[in-house]
Amino acid sequence: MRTWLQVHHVAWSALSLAMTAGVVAVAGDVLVPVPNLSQGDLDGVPLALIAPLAASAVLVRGVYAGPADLEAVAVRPTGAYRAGLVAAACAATLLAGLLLTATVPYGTAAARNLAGFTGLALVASRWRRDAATGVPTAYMIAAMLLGGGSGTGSPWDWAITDSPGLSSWAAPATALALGLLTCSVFPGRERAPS
Amino acid sequence: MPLRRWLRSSAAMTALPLMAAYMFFVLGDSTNFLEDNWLSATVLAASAGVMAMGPVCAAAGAWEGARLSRGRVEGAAPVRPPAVILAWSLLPILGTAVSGLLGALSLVAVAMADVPGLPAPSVLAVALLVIVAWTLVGFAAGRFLPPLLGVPLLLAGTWLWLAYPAALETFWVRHLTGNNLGFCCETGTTFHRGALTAQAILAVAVAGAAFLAWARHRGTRRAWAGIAGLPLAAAVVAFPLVRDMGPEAQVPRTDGLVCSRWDGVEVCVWREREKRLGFAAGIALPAVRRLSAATGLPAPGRVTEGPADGRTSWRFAVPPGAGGDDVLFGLATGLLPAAPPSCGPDWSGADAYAPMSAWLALTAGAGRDSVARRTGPASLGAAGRALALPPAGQARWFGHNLAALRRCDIPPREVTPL
Repeated sequence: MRTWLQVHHVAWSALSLAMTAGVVAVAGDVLVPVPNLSQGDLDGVPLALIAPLAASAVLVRGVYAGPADLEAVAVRPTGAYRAGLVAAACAATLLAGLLLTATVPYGTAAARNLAGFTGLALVASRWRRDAATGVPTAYMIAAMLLGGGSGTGSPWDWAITDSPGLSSWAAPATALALGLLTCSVFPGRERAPS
Repeated sequence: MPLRRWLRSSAAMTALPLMAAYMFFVLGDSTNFLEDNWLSATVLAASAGVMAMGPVCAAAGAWEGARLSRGRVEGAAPVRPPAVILAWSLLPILGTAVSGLLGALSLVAVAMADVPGLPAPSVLAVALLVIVAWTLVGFAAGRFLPPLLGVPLLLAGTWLWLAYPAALETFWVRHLTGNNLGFCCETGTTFHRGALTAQAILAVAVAGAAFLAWARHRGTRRAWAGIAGLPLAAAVVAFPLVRDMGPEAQVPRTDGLVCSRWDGVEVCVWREREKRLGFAAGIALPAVRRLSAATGLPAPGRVTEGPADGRTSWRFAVPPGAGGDDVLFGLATGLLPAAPPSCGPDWSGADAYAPMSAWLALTAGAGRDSVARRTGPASLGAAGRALALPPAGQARWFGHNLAALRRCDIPPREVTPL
């Protein structure tokens, strides 16, 4: 197990999660101006909603690190290990977000985005594993460009919604569930960049 | 070289639709708010291009860099120099960026169909330089990072660098990114040369450092420190060029006037408005004579949209769509000081501004309704009170209140309606 943790860069994932949590706590409410089409002017998106992209990328990189061929024929349930790593990271972040709701205004929303981004990347890895983390980044930028901005938002622009309401959790929770299924049951194939 | 395979295998082909869609969104309705000059159109196209293509090209560069790294080109026997290897991977991305910029220019060109002039090549060149610089940063990052990290890092990181400085109250940062916020310049202004130079200096340094980082297989700590220090040194050189700039990169324009002489007075408009020169002269010259007679100011030898000293030359504006009253109001209020003196909160001189504007505009020949809309009924009433005075009294009223607008120790007089 220790070897698996090393091979899958779990320490790096933990470090990136801690650093992202630090950014969210210290500068999470800093607004990044975005040219928003639906509102016709510059709109600000809190940095806390963007920062989880980095932690998600490191986490997904860790999930798919290691010798895929060996893991495909391993006796141990490596698929479950991968899913467990993602689930543990997302659960820990959510717990931290909920515990610190009073002091960190965007903690829960950041935890939600981490779960959603990671889920999207894991689902995208079925298409192309080495491009998987680009998908949530592109999704985030599209949501910022086209989304409704602050407030409750629409189901699809959850990534820029600062509301911690349950309605904004539907899409990221679904993405995470599908992602966990993808990385545990369908490990997918690794394609080298052509 | 199998060209089709070369192009098909490049990340630029995957990124092209994303870039095109993003640029279309960034451009959006902005073309409806363009000024009547090609510089504003060029800045909008270049800004949309940098904003849309900079991050995507950087991400594509990270992908291509990782590809070259996985191909172990640095470890193989050197058949070609590193620059050539890099160029073959860079060219499709560069071609995509150029096509994107040309596409953006085509879109704004439709909006500028009736405006004479050409795009500003220096603005486009710097935009392309910025895109190339970030693409090379992507290549360098791709050499050390797997695509799973490099692609999102460059996509989000470059986008943040381009977008975030607009939120900072430290204005000079935004003038270094090359984004330019999509706006510059009104027809009476031009792009700050220092800002463009600073952007070019920084982009060249970033590109150079990125190339060296990509091409260097092994190196001492000193060499890596030198590479890292290159952009820092460029920032130190570029900083004084933008340090004192405000939120926008526009500065007053001094060239590009088209002039013609009527009745001994030279009338000048910006060359983009040459078609309106006759209209402008027909409106402005009689107004100049009326204003000169009523205020006692000497008649100017020049009425211009460009720089004017207020004595031998008066300023006015003939923007597209402006009617006669708009031109007259601009000409009349051009005789008042542009900014109040630094007198503190108790200064009452500002009370004279609107009544004097109304009096000058009415004297110039503007309609009462038009003046009332701009200055308000109270100011119109005060102006009417002044207009009821004999000509010499009106000139004294104007002279006194003009002094009240320029000095702290003279209170305005008779600036309220009876």
